[in-house]
This record gives sequence, C-alpha cells and structure tokens, in this order.
Amino acid sequence: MKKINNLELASLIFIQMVTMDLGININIIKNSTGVNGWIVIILSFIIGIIPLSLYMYISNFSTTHPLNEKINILFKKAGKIINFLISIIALVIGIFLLYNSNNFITSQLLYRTSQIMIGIILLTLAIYHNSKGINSITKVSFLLLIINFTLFLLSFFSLSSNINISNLLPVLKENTDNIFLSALKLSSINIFPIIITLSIPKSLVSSENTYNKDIIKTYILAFIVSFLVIFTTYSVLGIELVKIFEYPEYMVLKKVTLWGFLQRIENIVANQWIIGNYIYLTLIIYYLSTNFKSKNNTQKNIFNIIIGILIITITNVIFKNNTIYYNYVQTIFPYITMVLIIFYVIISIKIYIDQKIKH
Amino acid sequence: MNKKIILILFFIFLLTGCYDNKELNEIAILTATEIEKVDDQYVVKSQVVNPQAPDKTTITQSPFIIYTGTGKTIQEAYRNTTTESPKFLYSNHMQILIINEKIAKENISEVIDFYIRNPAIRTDFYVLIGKNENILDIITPIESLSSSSIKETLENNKKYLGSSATVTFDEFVNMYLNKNLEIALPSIEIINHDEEGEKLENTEESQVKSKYKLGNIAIFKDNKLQGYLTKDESITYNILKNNIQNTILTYECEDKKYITIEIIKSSASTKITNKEITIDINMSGNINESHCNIDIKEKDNIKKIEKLFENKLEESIQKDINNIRNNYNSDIFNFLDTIYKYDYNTYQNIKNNWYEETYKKIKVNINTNISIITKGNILEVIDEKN
Amino acid sequence: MVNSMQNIINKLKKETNNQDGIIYRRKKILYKNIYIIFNETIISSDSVSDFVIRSLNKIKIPTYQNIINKISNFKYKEITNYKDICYYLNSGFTIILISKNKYIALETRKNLSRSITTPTTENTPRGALDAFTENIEINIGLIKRRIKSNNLWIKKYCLGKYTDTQVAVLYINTIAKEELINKIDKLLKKINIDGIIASGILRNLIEKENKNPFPNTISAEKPYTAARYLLLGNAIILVDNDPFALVLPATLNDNFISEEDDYNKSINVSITRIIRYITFAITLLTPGIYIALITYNQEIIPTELLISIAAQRKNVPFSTFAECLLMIFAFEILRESDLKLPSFASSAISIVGALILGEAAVNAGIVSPIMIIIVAITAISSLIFSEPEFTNALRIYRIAFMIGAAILGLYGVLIVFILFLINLSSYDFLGMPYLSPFAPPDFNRLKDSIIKFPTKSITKRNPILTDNITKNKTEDYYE
Repeated sequence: MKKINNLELASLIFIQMVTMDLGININIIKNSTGVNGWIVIILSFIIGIIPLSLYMYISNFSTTHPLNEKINILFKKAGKIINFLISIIALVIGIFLLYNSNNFITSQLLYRTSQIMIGIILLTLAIYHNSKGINSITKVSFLLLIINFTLFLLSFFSLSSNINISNLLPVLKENTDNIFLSALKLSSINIFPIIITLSIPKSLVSSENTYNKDIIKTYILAFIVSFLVIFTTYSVLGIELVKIFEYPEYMVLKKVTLWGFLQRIENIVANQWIIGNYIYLTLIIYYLSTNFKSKNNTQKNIFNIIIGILIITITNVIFKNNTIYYNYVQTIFPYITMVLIIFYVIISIKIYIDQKIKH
Repeated sequence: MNKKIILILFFIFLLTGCYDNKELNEIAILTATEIEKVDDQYVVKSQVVNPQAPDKTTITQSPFIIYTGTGKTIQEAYRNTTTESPKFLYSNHMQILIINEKIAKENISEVIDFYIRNPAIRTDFYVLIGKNENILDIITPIESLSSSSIKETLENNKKYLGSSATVTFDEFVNMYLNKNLEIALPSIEIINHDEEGEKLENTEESQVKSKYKLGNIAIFKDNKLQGYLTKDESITYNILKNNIQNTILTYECEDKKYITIEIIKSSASTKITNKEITIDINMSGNINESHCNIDIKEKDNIKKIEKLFENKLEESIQKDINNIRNNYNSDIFNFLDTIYKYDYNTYQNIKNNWYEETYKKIKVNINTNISIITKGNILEVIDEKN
Repeated sequence: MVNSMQNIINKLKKETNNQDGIIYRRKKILYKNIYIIFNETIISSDSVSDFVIRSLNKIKIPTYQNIINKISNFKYKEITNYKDICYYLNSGFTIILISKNKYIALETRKNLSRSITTPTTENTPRGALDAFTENIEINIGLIKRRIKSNNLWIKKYCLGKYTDTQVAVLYINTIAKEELINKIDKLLKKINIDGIIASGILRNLIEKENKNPFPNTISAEKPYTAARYLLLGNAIILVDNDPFALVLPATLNDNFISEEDDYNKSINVSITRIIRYITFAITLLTPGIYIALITYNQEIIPTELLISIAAQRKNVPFSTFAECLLMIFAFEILRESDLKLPSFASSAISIVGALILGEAAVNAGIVSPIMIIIVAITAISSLIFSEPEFTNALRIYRIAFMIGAAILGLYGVLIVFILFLINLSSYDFLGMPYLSPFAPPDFNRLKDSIIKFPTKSITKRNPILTDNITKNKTEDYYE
C-alpha cells in the first residue's frame, strides 16, 4: 500500500467538516436562533473538541487497522452490530448529501434537468473514483480542496466590502433558548461524522508523528471557514433574507464581483460546495465498501454500485419534495448523526479498559 | 474492464442531458420590466434586446422591443408574452424593474413574491417606482437601451448628487420583510410622453423631447406608498443612510449670495443614548463656488464657513426629519431598527406603539462636523470691478 | 578442420541467399587458409584494407594468438559460435575465421550516421545546440561528455527478433534507486517483439499504453535534457537508430520545464511558468467553458458582450457545440497537414487556413467571429508545448470538456474536471505519481514547479526517485 500524505488526509477531514455549510447548517439554525447564528457555530466547534480528541485517541489504537476492524477486535461479535449501525448512519449522511447537492443543482443551476440524472452522474463518478483506490481519493480531494479554498478566499474577500456588522445585532437578546441545542446539532452533523475517516488507518499516513497536530490544524481551519461562511452570509444578507432563501450561502455569492468586471459568477464560485459534496459522498462509499471484505476488485466494484443504487433509490423514495427534505434536515438528521457520539464514547472506554487490564 | 464499464455508463448518462440547453438564438435577452395594473390584471411590459450586427452602420431597427402580456399573476402575464415573442424570455440579465405607483399604493407583496421565488431571476436589479406608464418605451440617446440608460443615470446620480437612491431587489425585499424597516425607493417619470418618443427619430434632435427623469425618493409606510420626498429631503435621507458618495451643499453666505461646497466624503452614524437619537455626521469637502467676498487665505474665515455650513446643515436636516415625521409618519431613517440593535430594552418598551407615540416625539440630536480640505484652484476672490 | 570453416561459409551463403554484399575472402598464410568475411554495405573499405588485410600480410605464422597480437584494429572480439558471427557480421564487423571455434571479429564499421546537428523539436534561444543522432555510441558519448563520473552506469540490451536493436539504459548509480533500474530491467526483459525501430515502440511496450493519454516519458532530443534528468535520479533509455532518448519516469510538471529556464533568473522563470500553466488551462478549458457560458450560464457574460455575441450568432444555424467542434476539427486538419507537408508548401496552408477558415466561414454564416477567436486562442495555447504527445492528449480532454459543457453546462465542466483529476492522479508509472509535486504534495519539489525558487534554495531531489536526497549545498557568500 502506498502511503497517504498527511495533508491529503487532512483535506478529507476538512471537507467533511465544511461541506454541510451549504444548505444544511444554516437551515438548521436560522429559525431557532435568529441572528445568533455566528455564536452557534463557535459553540458547535467548542463542543466538537470532545469527539475530536476521542477521534485522536481511537486512531492510536491498533494503528494498522481501519475503523471496522478495530471495532471487531475490541468487541468481537458485538462489533458487528456497532459496525452495522455506523454504516447505517453513514448511509443516511450519504442520502442527505446526495439530495442536498441534487436539490441545489436542480434548483439553482439546471432547472429542467431531472434530479435522478444528476444524482446518477455524481454517484457514478464517485463509484468510478472508488475503483481507483483510496490513494486516488485522497489525492483528488487534496487538489480539489486547493481549488475550493481559492474560490472561498476569492468570494470572501470580494464580499468583505459588503459586510455590515450591524446585521448581527442585537447579540443574545432574542431566540436564546435554543442556542445550545442548535450548537449540538451543528456539531453533530459537522464534526461527529469524521469518525468515518478512521477507515483510513493511521499507519497508512506518511508521517505519524504530526498526525494529531495536522488534524488539530485542520480543525481550526475548518472552524474559521465555517464561521466565516455563516458570519458573511448573515452580515451581508441580514437575517430576514437568510430566513426566506433556501440556500442563503449561495444567494450571498450572487454579490461576488471580482476586479470590477467579473460579475454574476456565483455559479463558478458555488462549485466549492458541489466539490465538497462530491468528495464527501466518495468517502462515504469508500467507508461502506471497507465493510465488504473481498480482495477481488470486480466484486468490490459491484458492491459499490449496489451501494450507489441503494442511495439513489432511498433518496428518491424518501424525499419527494423540498418540504419533506427540509423537515427531515431540521428534525431527524442531526439526531441521527448525534448517535455517533455514543460510539465514540463506547469505543474509547473499551480501549481504555482493555489497556488497563493489560498492565 | 469493470472500470471501463463504469466509465462508459457514465458517458451514457451524460448523453441523456441537455434539458437546460438554450442557445443564444433561442433566447430573448430581457433587460427591464415594467409592471402596471389595469382592472385587477397585471400588465407586464418586457424590454427585450434586439441584437444587431455591429458592422451594419445604418440602424433601421429599434435597439429594443417591448412585449406586453397581461394576466392575473405576474408569471401568467410574463408567459402570455409568448403570444408576441418568437423567443423565450431570458431574465438573468434584467437590470431594472419599474413598479407603477398604483401597485405600490395597493399591494406590493405580490410583486416581491414572484421575483424572490423564481430562481431563474437574479435579485440584483434595481427597483424603481414609475410615476407614469410606458416609461420603458422611450428610446434614449447615448445608451441605446433605455434600461442601461436608466441604470447608469441612477448610478451617476448616486455618485454625484444623491437625490435618488439605488435599491437592488434584495435590499428592497429586506426592507419589506424586516418589521423595523420602512421601504424607500427611487422613482422615475416621463416628460413629454408622446408617440414620437417611441421612435428612433426621438434621438435625432439635440433637444430630446421625450425623456425620462429620475424623480425623488418614494417613501412607504406599512409597505404602502405614502408619497415622495422633495429633492433636499432626498439628499438628507441619503446623507443619514450613508448612501452618499458625492454631493453638493449650497447655502447663503450673505443676502442672496451663495457658497457651494462639494462634499467628497460623508459618514453618518445613528446612535441611541438615553432614549434620544443622536446622529453624528462627518463630512469633508471642497469649495466649488463662492459669490461672497471671503478671503480664504485666513484660517478664521475657513472656520467661519465650516461653522456656517455645519449650522445650516444641522438646521435643514432637523427640519427635514421633522417634516417627514409630521407629513408621512414613516420611519425611513431606521430609528426603530437602531434602537432594536443598540438598545434592546428600550425597544421592548416602545415597539408596540412606536408610530402612535414615540416616533413623532423622540428627540433627535444632530451633530455635524464639516471640514473643508481644499479650496479650489484659487486663493483670491474674484471680485467685481468697481 | 577446413571443413568446419567451409561449413560456416556455406551455411552463411545459404542463409543470406548468396547475397552480393557479403564478401568471403580466402587468404593463405604459410600452410593455413584463413577466411575473411565482411558485409560490404556496412563496412568501411578503407579500414578493412588498411588494418585487416595489411596486418594479416605481415603475419608469418598463422596462430590464433599471433593474429590477435599483430592485428592493428583497436577493437576486436573473440567469438566462438555461429550466432555471434552473424551478429557481428551484420553490425559491420569483419570476421576472421582462423580455425575451428576460433574466430575474431574486428570493428570496421562504416560511418553511416549523420554528424551531430542542431535540435529540431526542442528549440531554445540559448543553450547547447547539439542533438542526439541515430548512432547510439555517439549518443552515449554526448551524455558522457556532460557527466564524466564513473557512476554513470550503462546497461545494454539487444531487443527485437529481426532488428537486434541495441538499447542502453543509462543511470547514475549513486542517485537512481536500484528499485527503478530493476523494474526497467524486468520490463525490458519481457519484451519479445520482431523489431524495435523507434523509441516510441519501446515506450508503448513498457507502459500501460492508453491508461493515461498524457506522455509519461519525455522524448529528449538534446543531451542536455538527458543529463538534467540523470542528475535528478531518472533513468534514460537510448535506442539505436533513434535520435530521441526516453526519460522515465516523467510527470506532468516536467512538460512545463524548458532548458531556457536554467539560463534565466528564477523570478522571471516563475512568471514564465505561471504563464505556461495558465496556457495549459486555457487550451484545455476554453472551448468547454465557452460552450457552457453560451448555452447554459449566460448570466456570467457581461450584458453588452452578450448582446454583441447574440448579434454575431444571429445567423449561425448550428448549435454552439457543433460550431465549436467544426472549427476545432478544421484546426486539427490544418495542424496535421502542416506537419506532413514540406516547408515550401506551408505558406499555402497558412493562407488557406487564414482566409478560408477565418474570413470566409464567418462571411458565409457558418461560424460566428467570436468562435474563431476562441478556437484561435485554444490552438495557439496548445502549441507552446514541445512534446507532440502532450498536445494530442490535451485534445482528448478538450473534447471531453466540450461534451460535458454541452450537456450539463458549468456543472458538466466540473464533472469532467473531476474525472480528469481522477485519471491523472490515479496513474503512476514506475512508482512515480503522475501529478507528483502537487499530489501527493512535496514541498521541496514544489519549489521548482509553478513557481521556481532561487537555484540556491532548491537543494533536494525527489525522494520517490532517489535516496540520495541532497543535490545542492551551495552556501550564500557575501563580501
């Protein structure tokens, strides 16, 4: 196996933490917390420190094995149930991601193209990518992340002249009851799922010494980016517009103007979100396929195709229209991913106890 | 082999696309829309570009064409233009939306709903209130499209005078949705509207007969049009809203003699202290014209002019604010919003009867600070030869 | 005894169908007959008569040892079997049959190669002007002139059933990884083909040919390029009768580096490199993005420009995609004919291209003027790369981008772009990832990629190619 560069792994984690910025983060918090959204995102990343430290703790255990094998080693037969549950959650995340990107593309870019087709194209690409192996996934994610980041910086600096801080006032006066719960929700959809990245064992990474440091740096960077997205969206549009738009983060990009003459380039700048969705989806398929133990590549590809068909069918069966989707995003989705914290805790405690017994 | 199958499948799926493909030959570029209401039916006039090859020197066709559609909703009216137009209306390049004042007086929310709901329409066009009808029909010189012409006039006015305002659609929606804000929109009217104005001949004379003219700011209360400000009130409004880049102030220095100052920088901040509104205005400018015999080489004289302008400006702003409060009782200066943001407790107390009690009575303090930085090319006074 | 030598001659005559060119000369020294065999077409008659015959004339006692001692050719081989006789005979040696199983081959090759000339594909305003020729010995010599170390090791192979082509693998053994050389060794030994008459055939045999349309070797025409890559730890393959050396493995970034860069200051080089990368993006993406903007995302084009384009396209009956494909096809025809035609006809081509494809097509309403601009900028940009394979590969992806754009607009361009990245990043040749300094990121080598750092600060080689990392220890010295 070829080694994976630390930066490439970091890019995967970064994309996991940032992708939900489009369409999901703000939709969860905008109605319940009003203008306090920027405080919620800060809080959510403070809460996220817990799963992050557990993540690093788990990654140290039996560094040559991916997540599912670690669980099997730790829990023997019960491990299968845990793996199954985590896979289900990963599948759910995949379903929401796919619908989110489909819905975004069909509602903002290609109005008359059918959602199923867009989904199939994205999934086929992800499955094809998976057939090339994890090294290819990490490399592409790193390269795309650079493009992402450039687009993000361009749009942020272009929008910084439109920022109106008074749109974020008054601070903590209205809608304060739900702040903590909303922060937990954001944390659970943005940060908890990074457990999926543990399917890349630590020993595969090229320099294990800086593993933890790099992940912490990534975490801080992801926090800054997520914060700036919400901060810019709220302060440029104002809370009233944020509330009525389906994708306020995209609407704010409509104001991006580069060097005075490049106007109306939101469809180019918004590619940062589609790229993020794509990489995340690829990673989820990779994670699910690690559960399928087969050395044969053809079988693995067929398994991936089955996963893809599963995701696209469920997506189209469950989400018949936007309203159902947004309902689920606000009510069900965060709670499903919140379950992941239980696994973080269980696995960490088990590792701790096992090590105590050994000594 | 397996990978190749996936790749082939991928391209097959790609080939089923093309639903959204629209060639330039198939679309009509919509640059402006005017909405009127006749007998409960919306009348939507769409200005569509008539593209002409650049090398054809003799223009025989009008640079744009107006399609009219009527319907119970705006979307219906738009779609009804397909009875006239050979091409599909492409509205992402819309620059101007003119809403007739009749609609503004009745119910403006239906207009907002259509434009904000439709993802195919961008939200960065300018919104104006049309005082008459058929404003887009006029063919204008210099800019062949009247929509670009209006857009540039608006932007120029903002840059150099500030008697009008540039309000993009999303700002307009924000003013509409936010319960603490009131809507203020620029207005436009037509002078000498006749049949000639809709022909190319209109641009053949140096004194263009039919032309549009930007009106002053239209103000709303509870999302209904209340009336129009005067020119001075409009400038005051823009000064307080920090919309001004550049304007001029003219005040009397002696009897019937005037000094004009060009303001090149202006910033206003509204604060709430002790339940009183305080507005600080900082300006800097140049003396552009002076009829009085003032020796500007002396420091004291400059100070005197500054003082004079500060007092006069303060006076006139105070007067304008009171006028607006008394005549329209509309909070276009966002006082309530300021209170909401900076003094939440007071806001809780007064929000329920803001217009009934507080707004008209609340004390407004104005502090102005004008600094004259350059004095023009000359130091001496151009005196009359006695 | 005589019989066995006679046997050899008979066999040879039979196998070559008694070819005229092969001369069999019997010479009697004392009591003994010895045979001299050479192939007239490839030997230099001077050296045969001057050295071989004259030396033999001086010999009194015809023993094997004596002949070897007296012969005045500088290069000889002692051979024992029939197979070797054939090989050396066909390589321009003169064979002397002395007694049974005691033969010698003397080098008397005619100089059939042209002299060292200036390069034709890698033009640089400055730099050494010698180029490889068709003679492998001269080519090795040209490299050896530049790298005078004992550590420049050469492994020779004979490949091709009929051609018996000499193939030499050159590397610096203290720099290049043994792993790489072993891999190349394995790949070369697996080759079993009737003939290798071009280095390209060899390259296609040792790689997975169509996995990556971009070239993963560099065809170096200049010894300079070969020496440059040898010092970085790459291996060079020279094929006899081919004036191009293969540098392997190569990465995408290597196509952006030119000899000229070594003569310029790094700040100027950086700007040139940025321009090259932008050109790369332009030639790859322009038609695709144009189609996407014109048929899907018209809002990005400024209103005035859109109106002007609409006016230009008013009378064009084709879809933008078809129009673009047509013009790109026309350009490819032009390029192909320009390559094949002798230089005196190329001015005719350019007149036809400019007038008919440019002016007339617009006037006839087949294409719009803006499309001519788009195709022209794409075409000009594609020509800055000296490696023709690179330009060809760009063509494939350019059309893929156009298809993506025609079907899904900017989203399609993004999808094809991701596909492009997947294909490039998942490819590695001899252990070298194709996008190497970028993915996986290697900061030491990024110093010589899109931006070039000062030469003093580029101190490391690629760890994938070598264990001997440090290459430059020059210290700053200021008075």
